[in-house]
Amino acid sequence: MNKLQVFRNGLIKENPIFVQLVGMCSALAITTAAVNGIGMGIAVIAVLTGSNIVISLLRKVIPDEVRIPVFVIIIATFVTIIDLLMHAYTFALYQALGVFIPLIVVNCIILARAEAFAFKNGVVDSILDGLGMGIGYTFAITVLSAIREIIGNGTIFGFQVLPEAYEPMMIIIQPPGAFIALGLLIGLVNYLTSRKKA
Amino acid sequence: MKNNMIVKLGAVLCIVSAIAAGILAYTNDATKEKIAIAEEMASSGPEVAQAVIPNSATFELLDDTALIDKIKSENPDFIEIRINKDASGNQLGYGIRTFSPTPGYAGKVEIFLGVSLEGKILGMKIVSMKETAGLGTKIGEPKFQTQFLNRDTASEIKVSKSNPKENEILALTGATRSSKSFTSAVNNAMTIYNEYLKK
Amino acid sequence: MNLFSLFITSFIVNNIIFSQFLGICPFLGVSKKIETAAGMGIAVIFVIVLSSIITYIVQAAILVPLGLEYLQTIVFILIIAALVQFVEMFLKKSSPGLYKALGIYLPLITTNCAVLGAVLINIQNEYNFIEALVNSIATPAGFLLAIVLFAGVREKVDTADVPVALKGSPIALIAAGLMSIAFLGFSGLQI
Repeated sequence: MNKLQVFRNGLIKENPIFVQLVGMCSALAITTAAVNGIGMGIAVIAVLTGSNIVISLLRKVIPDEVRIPVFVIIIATFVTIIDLLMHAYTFALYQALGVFIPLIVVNCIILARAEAFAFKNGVVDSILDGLGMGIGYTFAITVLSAIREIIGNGTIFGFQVLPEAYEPMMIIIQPPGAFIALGLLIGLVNYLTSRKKA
Repeated sequence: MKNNMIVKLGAVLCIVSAIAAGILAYTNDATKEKIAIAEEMASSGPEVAQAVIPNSATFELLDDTALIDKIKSENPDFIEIRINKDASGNQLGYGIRTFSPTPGYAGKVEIFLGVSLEGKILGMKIVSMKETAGLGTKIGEPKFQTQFLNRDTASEIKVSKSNPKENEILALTGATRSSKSFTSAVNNAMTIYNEYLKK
Repeated sequence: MNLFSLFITSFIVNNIIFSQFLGICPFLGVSKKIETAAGMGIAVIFVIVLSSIITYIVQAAILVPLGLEYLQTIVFILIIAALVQFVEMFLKKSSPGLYKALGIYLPLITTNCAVLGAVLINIQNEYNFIEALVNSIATPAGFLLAIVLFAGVREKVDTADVPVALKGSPIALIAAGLMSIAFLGFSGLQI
């Protein structure tokens, strides 16, 4: 795979949310407002790229038998750094994302990419993979958040886009709405990709 | 041979953990002050003071340890009391900070309630909450909060889902628990005013 | 908070899957057959209860007194990883059938956000030890309930006539959404 393909892989073909179906918990929980989607996405891109770099740099040194615990320590370190930085510099977003920041450590995307890619490839490729997957994830959850925010609140990024008279469909912001919106969104993506193939 | 392997693996894990811990200790130190400031701003900065009672210039803690300790021992959700003064140094009222006795959708809501010296509600600010974004978080919006303004601390406020009466407020649609939680915090702050601060 | 109402809240009202969205990956991944779902649910109860006890003690006795709260994430996830390793070895010896059926999903309990989520919530909500224990039994019990119910639904959905674009995960998510609406009804429950 050439460099561009590595990067583009995560955006569409193997999009973590729409195709691989990993990292679901955060996709459902925090996607009630578009700004949350972007915020969480940036945090994940930072952790994913950082851990991919370190794991790729150390791939010849980490013994195979303990690789999973070592991956976890590296990922957890990056997550804690991001957590501290967000607590200090982006307090409102930190409060909004709450417990889901430390939960980035168990976001299956990061461990999956460490195992499937960073451990077996060079640093530059790992950076591209991390960025591609991270941006693909961010794109997916921001689209989902935007849909839920517009239908459930009439706003996007806090800006009123639907007329005041619009009676928002509250259920889409509540938990059932997350499942249903994501299900329909994946169904739509499936439909679009099958049409492209045909 | 096997023992050697275990020692080697164990050593790798220890080294990685030690380096990780070191990096984190450094980052923690580097961000400690900034975090303290951010928390401080969010809970007692000028923005909060203004929201609690408009035209506040200072927002200092009440300097009566005996009273504070007494309230703390009798009211588990109480946090602190601050004095709101205007630019000339006249006291405008009290800012009472408390948790909500009734939890919301996701844990307790923490608020500041601004009460004038005559016992009327002048303002409020949510210090922290974990309610659902776009739904429960609307208790932080003026549309919901103005219902509480100018009410007398003498009467308890109740929550109604429709056609609120004299001493009731209208709950947010689809966020009754958040609304009830917020109201319980307001009631608790009013109780603290009535029992300990009212002259 | 009274322990019974805490149990019901963590079990149904704030159900870990349908309200809190923790544990979705195994929820979607292991719910194709009721038996595997039940096995996963029970393994998760075991891991969460043990993790809660150990992490609670570590937090109270080591992290807080030494001011090391920033190491919480790393320490907790390592404790969970070790416990899952033990459960894996235990199952391999005592119940090889279940071990094989769970397959890759067993080590993945480590990354099951429900486990780390539950232990973090114990600390965040400032539960005392008994409350944390009750919460850590009720929460994965809710996971077991959710995953078994869902597996039952999915077994039926698999035989239904679903439009091609929605086959597989989309229809599963929509089904989960409908179940979530049912659980939403519990949110008015006040015990």
